[in-house]
Amino acid sequence: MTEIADWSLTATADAIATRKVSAREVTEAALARIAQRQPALNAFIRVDEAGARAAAITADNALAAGRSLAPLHGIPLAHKDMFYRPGVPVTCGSAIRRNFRPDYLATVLARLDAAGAITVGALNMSEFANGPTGHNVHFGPTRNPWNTAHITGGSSSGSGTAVAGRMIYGSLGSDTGGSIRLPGGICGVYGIKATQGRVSRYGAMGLSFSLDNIGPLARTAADCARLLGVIAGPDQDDATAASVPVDDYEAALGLGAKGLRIAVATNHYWDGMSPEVGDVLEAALTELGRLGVSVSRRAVPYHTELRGLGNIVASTEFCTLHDDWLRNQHDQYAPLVRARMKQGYAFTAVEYLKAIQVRPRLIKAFVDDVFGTADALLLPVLRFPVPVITETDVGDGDSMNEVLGSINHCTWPINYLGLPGLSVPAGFSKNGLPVGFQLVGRPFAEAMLFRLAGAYERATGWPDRHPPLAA
Amino acid sequence: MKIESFLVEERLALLRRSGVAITAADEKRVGDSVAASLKALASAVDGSLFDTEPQSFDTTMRKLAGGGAK
Repeated sequence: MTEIADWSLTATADAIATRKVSAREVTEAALARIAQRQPALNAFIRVDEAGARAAAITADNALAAGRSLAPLHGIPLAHKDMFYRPGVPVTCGSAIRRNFRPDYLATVLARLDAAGAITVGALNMSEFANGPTGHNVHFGPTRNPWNTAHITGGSSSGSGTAVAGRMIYGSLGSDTGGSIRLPGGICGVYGIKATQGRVSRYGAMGLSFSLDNIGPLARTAADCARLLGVIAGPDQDDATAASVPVDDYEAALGLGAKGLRIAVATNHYWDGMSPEVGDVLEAALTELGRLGVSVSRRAVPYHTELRGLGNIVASTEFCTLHDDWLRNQHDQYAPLVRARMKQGYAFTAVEYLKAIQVRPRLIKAFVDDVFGTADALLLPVLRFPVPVITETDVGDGDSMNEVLGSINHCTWPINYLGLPGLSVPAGFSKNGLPVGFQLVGRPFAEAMLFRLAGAYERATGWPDRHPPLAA
Repeated sequence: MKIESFLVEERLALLRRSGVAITAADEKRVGDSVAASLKALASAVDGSLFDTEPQSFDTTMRKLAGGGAK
């Protein structure tokens, strides 16, 4: 019989709602799993056992009193350590903010609270969400549950490994250049960076205000859809949160994929593809074809421009937010993090604003070109098997740009475009580590991405595969 | 398009004037990255941006929206 901690989020929510299991039992199962696997995975920065237990008792009492159920009633979650809750420490994965306690509540946490979720702690992350591997000199690297010698991807590194390692049922991460989709694909779970503006960022640590996105990581497409449905939508506290109505993502999962059209980018994103990852992705395309999806292969435009423009915008905004600390607390940053930020000083205001002002024009041209004949664009997450931690521990050495650029090669361009991207588990490479693909859609087409992912998941059953950690 | 070396050198001068500690490795890395980014900018901004609307990211995204799953 499967242990409670191994159940999916939606199955567990159903079990709580029908009183087959209590929130206390679910929370104790999660806390036991965290205690068991934290030494190997280093997923958590902080665990709040007492708070989680108290919240579970409250959830059970509410259920016993017949109060109406919310979609996450009694579900233990934990999030990247960058979301603000009054009085609770938020390190942002850094030394600089090690003792920071905010005095207001992030909108996404308020929405999860209202949906009945229980927060059991804060997850490890790349320092200030800056780094795609999962290294962190202050809190130690996170480790991949499929093989702890390998990276988790970042910057939402703890989110990826805690969810894949069956420590919690879902988590929030952030994505400025791939930081949800990379740990999603690398750890073998789902992760969605929704359309820019789909999810409020009020009360979340900022890195690049034009490119940052908040989104969930979860073990099944349904789990991920439920979490996004809870947190998405307009917010009076965030002027950049879109007013576009939120679709029913869970309903989209069951619609089937027959008749849908996927474009596969043959240039840039496929350049240098390793044969074994390529084989897994080709098998995924064959499976999608069996489901009735038409697959077309084509070159997609602007990849070089998107990387460069994204770099101008991101690095200038990094410097804007970190300028004071870069001057006065320079040595408190990891060498890699401060090295990545500094290039923002080298662009002029006119260059930055040109990169911002030309953005809508490029987005329209890209969307008209690619999505005029396709419902989604399929891209790799990584073009090579998941590397080990030691070979990607480059610090600020000569290979930093090359190594980090190879990891976010397929994810980085999508943030400048502001388009939604969902990482989907697609299988395993020969070293036993996950391989994933991204589904990218038109603005606010998250439901279409979940429709495709739901059909693919039912056909392949990848979420039923568990990491080979000791029970 | 080739980004002239003097243009990169100007950017490195900006970096040095920032007041942030800079190493030779920083300069090499920033120089490479800036050259590639400026090349991308020159390619993307082909001509004038005079006929563009102010802060039109949100309206563009709404107009291009593909909501729903059908």
